[in-house]
Amino acid sequence: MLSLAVALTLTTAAHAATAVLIPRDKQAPDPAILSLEEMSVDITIDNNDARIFITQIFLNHTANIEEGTYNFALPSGSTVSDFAVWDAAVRIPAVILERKRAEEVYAQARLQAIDPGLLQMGERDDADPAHTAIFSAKITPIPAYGTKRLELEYHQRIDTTAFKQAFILPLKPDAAGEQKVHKFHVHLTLHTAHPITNLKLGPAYALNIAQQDAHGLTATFDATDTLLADDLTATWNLDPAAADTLEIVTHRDPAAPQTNPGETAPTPTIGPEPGFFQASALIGEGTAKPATNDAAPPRIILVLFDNSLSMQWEKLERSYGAAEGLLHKLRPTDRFNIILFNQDTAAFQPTPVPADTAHIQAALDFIRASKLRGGTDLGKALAAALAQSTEANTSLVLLTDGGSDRGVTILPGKIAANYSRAWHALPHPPHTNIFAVGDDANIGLLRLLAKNDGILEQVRSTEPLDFHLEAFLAKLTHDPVTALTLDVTPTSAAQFVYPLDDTIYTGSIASWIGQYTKPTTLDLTLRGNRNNAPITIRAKATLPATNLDHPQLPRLWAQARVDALLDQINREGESRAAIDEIIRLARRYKLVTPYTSFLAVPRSLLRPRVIRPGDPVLRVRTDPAIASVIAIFPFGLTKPLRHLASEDTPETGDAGGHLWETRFLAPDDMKDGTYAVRLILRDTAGHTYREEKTFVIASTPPTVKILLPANQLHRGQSIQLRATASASTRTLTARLQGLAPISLRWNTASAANQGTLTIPPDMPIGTYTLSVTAEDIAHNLGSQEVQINVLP
Amino acid sequence: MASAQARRLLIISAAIATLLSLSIFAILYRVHSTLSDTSRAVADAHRLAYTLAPLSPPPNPGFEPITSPASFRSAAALEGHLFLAGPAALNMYSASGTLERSFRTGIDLPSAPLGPIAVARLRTHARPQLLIATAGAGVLIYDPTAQTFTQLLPANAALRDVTALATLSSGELLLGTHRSGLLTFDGKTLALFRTEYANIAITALLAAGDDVWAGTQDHGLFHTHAGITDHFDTQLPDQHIETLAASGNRVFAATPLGIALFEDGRPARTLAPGTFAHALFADTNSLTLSTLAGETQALALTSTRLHASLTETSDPAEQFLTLDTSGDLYAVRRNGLFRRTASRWTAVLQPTPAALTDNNIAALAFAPDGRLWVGMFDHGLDILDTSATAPTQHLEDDHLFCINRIALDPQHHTMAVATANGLVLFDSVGKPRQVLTRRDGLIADHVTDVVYTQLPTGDTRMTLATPAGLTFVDATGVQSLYAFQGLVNNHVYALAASADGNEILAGTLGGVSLLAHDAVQRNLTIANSGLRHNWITAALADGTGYMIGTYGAGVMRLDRTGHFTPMEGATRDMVINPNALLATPTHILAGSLGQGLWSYSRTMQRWTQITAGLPSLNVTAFATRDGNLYIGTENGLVRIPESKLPQ
Repeated sequence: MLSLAVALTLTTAAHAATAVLIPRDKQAPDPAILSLEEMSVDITIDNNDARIFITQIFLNHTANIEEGTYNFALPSGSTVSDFAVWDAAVRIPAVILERKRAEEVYAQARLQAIDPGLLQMGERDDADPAHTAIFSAKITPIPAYGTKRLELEYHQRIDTTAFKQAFILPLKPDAAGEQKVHKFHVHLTLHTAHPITNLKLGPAYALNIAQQDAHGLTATFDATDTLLADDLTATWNLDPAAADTLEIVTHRDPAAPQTNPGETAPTPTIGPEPGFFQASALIGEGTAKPATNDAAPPRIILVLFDNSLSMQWEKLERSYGAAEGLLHKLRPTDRFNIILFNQDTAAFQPTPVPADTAHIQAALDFIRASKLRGGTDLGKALAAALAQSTEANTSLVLLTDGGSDRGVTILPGKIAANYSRAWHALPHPPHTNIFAVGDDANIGLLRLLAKNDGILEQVRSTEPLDFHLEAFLAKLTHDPVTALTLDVTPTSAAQFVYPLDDTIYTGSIASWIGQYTKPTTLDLTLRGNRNNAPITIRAKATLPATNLDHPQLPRLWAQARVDALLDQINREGESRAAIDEIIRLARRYKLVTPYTSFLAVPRSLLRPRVIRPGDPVLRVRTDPAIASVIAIFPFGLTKPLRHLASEDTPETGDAGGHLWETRFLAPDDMKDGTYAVRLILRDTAGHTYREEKTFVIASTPPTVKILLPANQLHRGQSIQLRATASASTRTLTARLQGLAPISLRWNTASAANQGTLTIPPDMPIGTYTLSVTAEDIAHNLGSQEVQINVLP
Repeated sequence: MASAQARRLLIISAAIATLLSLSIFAILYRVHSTLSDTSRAVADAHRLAYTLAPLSPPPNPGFEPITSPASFRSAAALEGHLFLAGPAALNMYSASGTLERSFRTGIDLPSAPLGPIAVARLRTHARPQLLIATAGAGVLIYDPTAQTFTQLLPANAALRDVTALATLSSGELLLGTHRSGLLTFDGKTLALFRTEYANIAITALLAAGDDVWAGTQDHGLFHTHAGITDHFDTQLPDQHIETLAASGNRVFAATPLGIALFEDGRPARTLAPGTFAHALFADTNSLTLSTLAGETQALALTSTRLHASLTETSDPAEQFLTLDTSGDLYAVRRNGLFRRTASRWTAVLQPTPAALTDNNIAALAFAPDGRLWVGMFDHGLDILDTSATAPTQHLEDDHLFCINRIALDPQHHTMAVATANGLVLFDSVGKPRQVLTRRDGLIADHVTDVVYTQLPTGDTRMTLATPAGLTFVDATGVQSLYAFQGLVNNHVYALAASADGNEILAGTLGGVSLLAHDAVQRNLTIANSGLRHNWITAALADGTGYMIGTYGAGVMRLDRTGHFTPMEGATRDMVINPNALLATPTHILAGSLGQGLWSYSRTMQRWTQITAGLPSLNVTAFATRDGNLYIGTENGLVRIPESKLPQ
């Protein structure tokens, strides 16, 4: 009997592939069952907002009615604004409901043997945190030899760093999975108020530019039988010459608002909406240019590294990667310290030490040798960091998921208030920079902390670390523009004006969004402090009676308003008025909030909520109405599951419900691979549901083979490092002493996992060990090491 | 002239006719010959090697069972006797219900759990016999007259796992196998019944006359009749068939989502939709069913609605049957045989009380008070007075469930029980006092092993193995490490502390990590050492080194220098069960998966395989006290004086 190393996982955990419809019983798209016949992507980038509307038609090639799981990996900063499934000629849209109501509807639907997909904010699925970053819904029925049309719309904020903006449409599959589309159409419209330069469209999809000017372009791509092997990307620069000007865009529909034919959100409302305006300023370098990194005065970096249990797995690795990248960016004249924290704190050194190679390596070893402890006292950790912040030019870098369950207070508002009070009391308060990791990061708390002269960057589990880390580190080397405000006169002409960005640096865009009720003219004045010099930008704006351009503004404003209300709740506690307004706005503009759920209409059979990774113990979380669960294993074992009543929680959804458990032995002749266990669930009303989950027999760690073109590399040389690994591999990371870790990602063209290895120009000549480590879904590790010689 | 011509024509015609006849005959002969050859070849191809011999179990070296529940699964009546079978024994009762004999697996019968039993008269015998399916030892045939067993043992081990039995009216025996399809035995030949059944997992069999119905694990239902086989899958509520029953022209197939009714061999409708029946009995007017949840209900065959006239909430019925001419319905439950009288079930036979509450043993340890703690694989914990002077104490709750390891704190004389749902700490009188889980800082809820060491301060430290790494519990709190800190693999299954307590060995799925001073000092794998298999399942300190059990390379010794030495005789492709290693002053014992007990004599420096006397060849746990060894298996617990092991 194979008694060990049986990892159970949700079907979608192994493949975070995007925009795919995975047939039931499968782990990856299978075009022999469900092929992607058509895919149309309409991308509208209007200043800093990208609206992506995707239509996909899948064809069922079988004589059976099929069902599948639709997955879409959401980029960070994006929110789903609509989702719909077509049932023949009927479009079935998703709806936003108050969370309690959504759960009632959900429970009602479940009793009818249907399962509406339920997307909620703040759910913590301990089976796989990646799930909260993946929009997922069961699609059924898909008629035999018929088609199923799906529509997904989401909005994404386009960040600006060092005058650069980038847009990525995630099409590249995770691991070795791939998807082909028979007819593929992309329409891209880019328009910015600020003139752009150096516009580059990614080479993977050769877009035809129909029109282009200094403020944008229109381009299309049409192809047949296209392999979706790479992301669709576009990068451009904002012209610094146009910096330090305020650009104002508006939207006002005086009649009862009609939905733009292509815009499925916001939904029509009963009464007329007010007008909305957005003011944006590209902040230039100014005349008092900052010192370059080399010439800048030495800095002191205090790294607060969260090594509590909640950071286990990917979050810890990503935080370590961020720490590694940060330390290697420091100059020897800089000083740093590492403070590990969980329920206690442990400092690398009593006081900051020079950032020389020896200290950096010792610090990284210190992190690696540290052990995890349960519980987190973020307040204590912040106090420890402030105690070491005794000099000017000090930055605190917090690497965490923001969880805090120990200490004087666990209320986010109070933690932030206490910190802010202590921070203001210091003679040299440090920049409070935060690199948030994980999909379940407590962004509300971290945003409040970052308001203390810092920045907040979040990387989600579905995103590569590199891009976000690069942006974070770039901002660290600059001082933010401080005391940034937007004055509007007459003040009565505009209401509820909110900043859209927490921290602004030179080379980035500061935006505000507000409401207006009557057409008028506004005087706007931006004030701030840039590189220790005041900055003032003025503009006059006409707020029109009618302007149907920029339809994203109402929803953008609503999101800002909801964020402000949530901040208020974080600081002052819940109030009925705030909650009611959040629910009203969320329903009107399709926002997922802690008080509302996005009830996606595609329906499926009831699914057990959580099957945790682990050894031969099968755990299933179900809705409270379930009265019995029986597992039918593929090797001939049928076992009822035991209800662990002490583990029950009242909530529904992934985090709550009833917990069921049984233990099993898989026969020893079962090969490594993925198997299905069938679950028969019966509720108190006597309804029976049949569900299937997969488990992975993973008795051997993944194997890795490094494909190195040469083992003699010159300083400054870059090579494409390739490696192959077992199919079960989930992440593949290359490490070379002294360099930040390199994530290797699947590349269809080279049929291997690939990443760029660059030897630093100042790397000492010698022999180094390059290791590539693979981790599979059961957290088994396999690695290979090769020696490389660094030459002059 | 004309007549001569006519004669000539006649002669020619006759010759042609003769030639044609000869040709046709030759052709027919060749066709027949070819068909016969083909038939023989096909038959030969389907013929399977086997032995049919009187059962003569090897002598029991001295194992004595600690009684575990009978867990009856099946019953049959034969020549005035009543037989009830469970995985661990076949009990024979008199008509008055007196236990006459008990045939125990491993001692009187092969070391293989018993499956369903049936009474049939085989073609080669004049009188009915009792047929007993086993999971691993083929079919046992009991002759009540001679009071002897005969064993039908296929040569191919995969064919020995028999799940269902039935006999045709011709006296041929049908054997449903766990994964190798349906076999037939006519007394002389063992063969695949039909090609349609090859490599199918058979779950249930029903023979009505010469019609054969076979339920499968996930391929629906087969029906062979008049030389043809019908296959039903999409017509069923579900592809899994749990059990079958028949009455007249009706056949009932229980699936997880309802009972498929067949009339005259054709699917008619689904009864009790949504009901997962485990046992069925049909008569002309009603269908009695029992679910895995323990509900026994009767269904009037004129309705699709269940009549809840009979409802039981006790153990589910494993089988319904009639045993005598009265037509009374009996239910075999794990806790006895019950008869339906009027509308109630009354116990007819109940097994004698057992010392243990379950037979699937996962962990053993002696407490300082001399009581034996027995952890169950998917149940709780028994605390057993081995002298049988006090009743067994059974503990089971949401945490004390799925036991992996029981460890004694040598300093405080308390016990810790590692389970799939946390670590349960007991006080010195055996009461559970605290449960540690991930909420308390463990790196995972699932704890696979525990080892105690003493810190320089004199305090005790617990090191816990989990599938997510190691957790240390001591006076300073709870802290954890895993692959991030250098552990060779996150999945840790076995721990051992060096004799001086300064070093911890962590056996993982990916090799061995040696830790000292809270840090990984060294990782040993098949790539950088003499280790023959990376997957470590058991470990213990022995002398100055360690003994290592592996999943597929038997037992190895690891010395202080990191050098592995194979333990010759126990290093072939053998799987050592989790934590199934024990060292005594004279022996090292290893529990294997399917290969019994392995005993190493330190005197003779030789391994010996022991299979006789064990209730199962899957040996899972050990404990020792006062010269007695206690050996846990997946099918019961036995003890033996250590002196009776090969010295």
